[in-house]
Amino acid sequence: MANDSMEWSFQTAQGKNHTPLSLENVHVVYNIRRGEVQAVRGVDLELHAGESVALIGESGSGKTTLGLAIVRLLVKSAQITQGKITYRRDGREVDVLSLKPKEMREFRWKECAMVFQSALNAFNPVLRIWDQMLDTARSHGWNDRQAVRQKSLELLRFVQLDPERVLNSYPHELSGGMRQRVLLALSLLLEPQVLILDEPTTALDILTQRTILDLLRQLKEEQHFTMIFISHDLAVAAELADRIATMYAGAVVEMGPTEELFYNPRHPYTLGLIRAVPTVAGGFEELFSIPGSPPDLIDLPSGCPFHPRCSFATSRCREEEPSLTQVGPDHYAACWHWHDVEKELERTPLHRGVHAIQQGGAS
Amino acid sequence: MAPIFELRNVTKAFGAGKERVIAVDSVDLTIEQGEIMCLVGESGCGKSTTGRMVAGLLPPTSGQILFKGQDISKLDRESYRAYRRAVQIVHQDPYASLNPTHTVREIITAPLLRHKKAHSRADAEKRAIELLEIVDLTPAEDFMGKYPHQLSGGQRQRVSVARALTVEPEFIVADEAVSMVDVSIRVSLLNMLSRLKNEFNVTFLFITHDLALAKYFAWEGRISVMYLGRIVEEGPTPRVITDSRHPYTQALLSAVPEADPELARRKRRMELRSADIPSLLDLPPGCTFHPRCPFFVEGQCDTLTPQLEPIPEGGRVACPIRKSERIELIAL
Amino acid sequence: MSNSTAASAANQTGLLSQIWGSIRTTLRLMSYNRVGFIGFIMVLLIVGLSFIGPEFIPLDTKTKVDQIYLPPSWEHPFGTDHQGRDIFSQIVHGGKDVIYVGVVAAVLSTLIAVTFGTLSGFSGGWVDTVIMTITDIVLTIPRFPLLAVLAAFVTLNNLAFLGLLLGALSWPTLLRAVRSQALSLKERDFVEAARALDLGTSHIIFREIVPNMMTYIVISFTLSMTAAVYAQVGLVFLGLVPISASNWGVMINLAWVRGAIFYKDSLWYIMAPVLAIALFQLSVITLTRSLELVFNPRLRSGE
Repeated sequence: MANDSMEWSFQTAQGKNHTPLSLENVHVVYNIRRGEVQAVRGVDLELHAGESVALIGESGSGKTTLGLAIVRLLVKSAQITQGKITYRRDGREVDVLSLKPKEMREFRWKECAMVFQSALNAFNPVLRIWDQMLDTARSHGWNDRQAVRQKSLELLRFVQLDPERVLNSYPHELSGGMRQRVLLALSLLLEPQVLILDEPTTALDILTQRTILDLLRQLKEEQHFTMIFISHDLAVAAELADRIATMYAGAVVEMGPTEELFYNPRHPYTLGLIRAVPTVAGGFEELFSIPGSPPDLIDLPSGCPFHPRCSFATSRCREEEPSLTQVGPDHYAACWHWHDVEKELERTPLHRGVHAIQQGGAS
Repeated sequence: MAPIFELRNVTKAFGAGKERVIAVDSVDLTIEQGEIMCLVGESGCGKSTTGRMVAGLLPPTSGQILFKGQDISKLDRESYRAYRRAVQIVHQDPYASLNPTHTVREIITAPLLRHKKAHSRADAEKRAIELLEIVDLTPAEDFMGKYPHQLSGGQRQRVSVARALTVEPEFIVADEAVSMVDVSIRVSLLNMLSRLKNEFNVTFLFITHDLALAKYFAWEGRISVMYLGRIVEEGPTPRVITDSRHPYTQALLSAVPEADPELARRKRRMELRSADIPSLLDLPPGCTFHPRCPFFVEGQCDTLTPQLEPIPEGGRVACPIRKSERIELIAL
Repeated sequence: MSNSTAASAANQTGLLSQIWGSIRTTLRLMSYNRVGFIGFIMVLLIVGLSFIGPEFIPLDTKTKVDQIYLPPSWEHPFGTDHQGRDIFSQIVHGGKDVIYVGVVAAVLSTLIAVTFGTLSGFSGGWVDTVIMTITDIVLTIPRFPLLAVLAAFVTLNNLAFLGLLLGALSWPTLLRAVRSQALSLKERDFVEAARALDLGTSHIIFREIVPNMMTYIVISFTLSMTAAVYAQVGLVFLGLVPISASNWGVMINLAWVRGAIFYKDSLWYIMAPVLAIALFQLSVITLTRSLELVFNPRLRSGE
């Protein structure tokens, strides 16, 4: 299934310490009638070359807003009020927030492509797929029809679709899973350095989901693409991410290597999420819901926004919002009581890892 | 005790002539009182259609549906209405299942007053508050005057359940009832439904495409796996999950991503022969899974349609070739 | 549904305060859309002026030969007509009939369309077929020529009759639209839930489906009204309706007959009623933007 004909030379040309994308203290605010919605509150993120980071969170966490902020596709009522987004390539650096609209269009899709969730709505229903691919190429200055066709065929083959047939089809003639794959191919057309995928597998059937996940994994492992996955689905993060950042109420509350977060979480929200999500092959486990509901982003609770739902909360949590502190190798959590979370895990270990596997095997 | 529902050779077809689609094909299913039966499958497998036929919202094209031993198409008017009240449905989309122009109060009190479960507005109000408390919407008084758009997805689903409870149903069809709700809230909804089962002896038909949720909710119940309108495997949940026999079930189990990196790594991948999903308008002959099945046997699988046969480990499997073969899902 | 008289008596005062509260909420909601609210105020002003104005501003019927076609001034805000009469007072008196006919036509048209459209869409079967056939037949009747022919046989000077006649000819389009709305609403989950709960057909039609069509119904009502206004003004302009009282349509007719468009000074005479009608129609149409907010709870952002 590997595609030797693909030329991804630029990906591995960069040095190992290359960080294609960094976010510093990004704040995004929406203005609605009722007040100001603090959608993203001071997020720092460094994306290293070839790594995949998963932004995990539920509704209101700010993860999609953050993704949209990076490619500056926010709605008019939203503004990036603070922070810096830096993009680097071939030794040059660019401040994304200061790009003019024309430069921004270049950036989007050519440097950083965002693949949206509802693949249905991403396509123009009256144009064939080939026309849309050509349109995209042309609007970014690539007018060589032959070359675009070649690349499109290659990419469609890569996503395991029948290239000629798909190029000639209209979007409604393809199934949801096929459209998602076409969207992926389209996003790779201009060879971006960074891919942002928003809920890549939601609303897809299990077997179709598996095809997409395998493709993404191939992109990650064989082509060393740099990717950001935005999802509420922990399983997608477990499959694809090198690092995970859990977001709550517009801030990153925990960040670290995937295995660390799954087996040694240190933030009560991450812990709560893991305990609320079942596995299939891992035997039976008791699940626990997180009490309460996500906070009102206009009127956030004082101190740590998670405190009303947290079983580890103390008066300090109600007064001061914690910032990210190091809790392990490359592992950070924003919690005053992360030690207590550690102790809790020693007492009642998570039903994960080897423990679960042994339980889950056929008896 | 007689099973609460029995589906005998139930088929549902839509359209006619060349456009005829058989959404549900010769389904035989028995659901016992007080149990949780899960219908699992991908989109287009017929699980929702089956659920709606059970709830009486769609008539079957052929076959019989027996509610407490009686054919529902032969019930007299009174008994039919009693059956329709006894079987309620909770929908998937919390944003579409409640009338946006009604307050929670109106939504809950309307059926109470209509069916004389409450004899005055004050009585209906009281009973509505009780129901909201049963579904964990507290303080209930705060919710009564709210409109659906003022509630979160999870809260709306709870209102849907409370509404279903107004007629004191014996059976609830939950069609993807938690799919559109936040992950951390799902469990509390499912736990609430379990409590209903235990306290009020409600039987559940839980329809979902999410295997992990099915496993959790129906662990003490049974799972039926559907593919293109037919049940391919059925049995007690622990057995179906840990010792599946039908290749399609095995394909699903191996394809599901796991919220556990090590488990994800160690899972055995099952390669399917084709990634194409057959259209319901043009079903493959014999076993409909054969074009994709890695255990395909030419001459048999493409000519004979397999029937569900019981296996000693519990339940039934519609694959004569693989029903006695165990496979390991996880490489230890 | 059960109704205990004791309970309803106890609810009387509660009911009044409820109504007042609803009015206040409605006004507040409508204010959220600036354009719509302006339309609302304009409609109130014009209707007020047309129905209450005549009590305070007498109609100038005296012929003043020396004051023919005067330009606008403090004394005569819209100038004077071909007989030296004040145009402004004529405008004030001229709206009543026009609006009245418009409302009557819209009420009849909407009632027919909503009742039968919902019934047709919801019931299906032969009921649907019968209603749709009748609708299609009426739809093909050419309105204006029919009215012109009728005018030859019947004296169309009764306002209510005119309104009913216009309404009886304009319901088909609205009915089809209502029917398709009902068809799609019928499939919604909450309607299915109401069926599962055995709440009854009339409940489903009037309590589940119709409230969700209110925006549509209201907008159709206002559009019906504007169409009726144009229709009757057109009829009067063509001289088919011998209405003796002054109204905007009559004013246009008279101005036209007098050749008011040909002279610079008399332009006001014809423009005033035209502008009055146009302003009224515009206000009604923009009002619908605010009404949408009232009937669709979801459009109220930030609540």
